[in-house]
Amino acid sequence: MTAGIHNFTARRADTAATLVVLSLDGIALALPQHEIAALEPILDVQSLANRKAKAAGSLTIGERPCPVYALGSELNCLPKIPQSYRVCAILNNDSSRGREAFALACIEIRFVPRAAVATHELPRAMVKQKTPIKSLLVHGEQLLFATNVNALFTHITRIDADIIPFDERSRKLRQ
Amino acid sequence: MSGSAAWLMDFGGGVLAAMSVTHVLHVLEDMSLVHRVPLAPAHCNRVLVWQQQLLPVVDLAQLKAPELTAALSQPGRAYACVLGWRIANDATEYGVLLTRSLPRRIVIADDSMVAPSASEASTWQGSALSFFSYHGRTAPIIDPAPLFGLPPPSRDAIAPQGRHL
Repeated sequence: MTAGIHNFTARRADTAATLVVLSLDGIALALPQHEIAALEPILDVQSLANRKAKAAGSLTIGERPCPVYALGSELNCLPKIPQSYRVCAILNNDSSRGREAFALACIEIRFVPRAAVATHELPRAMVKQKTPIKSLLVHGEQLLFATNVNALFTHITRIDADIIPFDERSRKLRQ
Repeated sequence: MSGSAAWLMDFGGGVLAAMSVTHVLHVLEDMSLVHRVPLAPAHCNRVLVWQQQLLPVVDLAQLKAPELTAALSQPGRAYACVLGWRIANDATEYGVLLTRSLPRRIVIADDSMVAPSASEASTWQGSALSFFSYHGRTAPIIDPAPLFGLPPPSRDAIAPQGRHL
């Protein structure tokens, strides 16, 4: 599977001819097609014993572990992959920066021609630095959140950084 | 006695305000067109798909009285009021406010204008054009632009009806 993972390219979502729509719990993310390396069935995902990890599971890609994240409706990391999530998208992370591939579990994956969506900027009142959402896309009656691998990786890493183990939090409160 | 026509809006959580009749374009009962946006600020975490545009939806109760329950999480109906206001170059900017009931058309008499308390002035700083007395309560007449993170319109672009409205 590793051989199938492409090198990361800096092409932007708004220039990609095809978008890949990842359906999550009540929301849908749209990424440029070239940022998806492969799809894997959820059955191949192994649960992680370490409950402190943000990854809900792990895949073995070319003999290397690939963390699998399950995001919820607020783009929060879920500790377990929900039963409705049936497929994993392996994302082309920026290997030139030494970043490992990672995967997102989702309910379903669809391909949508770029021409079939209307792109809207994130309204000014909603703009926050800490969001991986780059723009809003309307496809039929569905709202899609445009993002990219870099932004998702940064978001997930940040969530990791924000997590303080319970015992450490208690220790800080006692000080 | 002269006055100005306005829409009185109940935003839930005890938040009441009026807006110029020229700013309110449409009221929608169908909330299925309102979509939630993850990681957006609590007072503006929804958008409305309206006439091929995507409009930010502001929950004023969440913004002005966050300690109280936000409009959409309260039991009962919510309405999406589509607003429009002029900006520079004759362009129009749009946004949506969530209300707990249908806006009510009222006339604000000139002699009902009052000075706000320090707390009211602080709560509505930057978004109130003036204040009036309504059934013993002080309510603001609001300018929509600042609620949506936009600069207020220039004097030339303010809706022509009414003095402050």
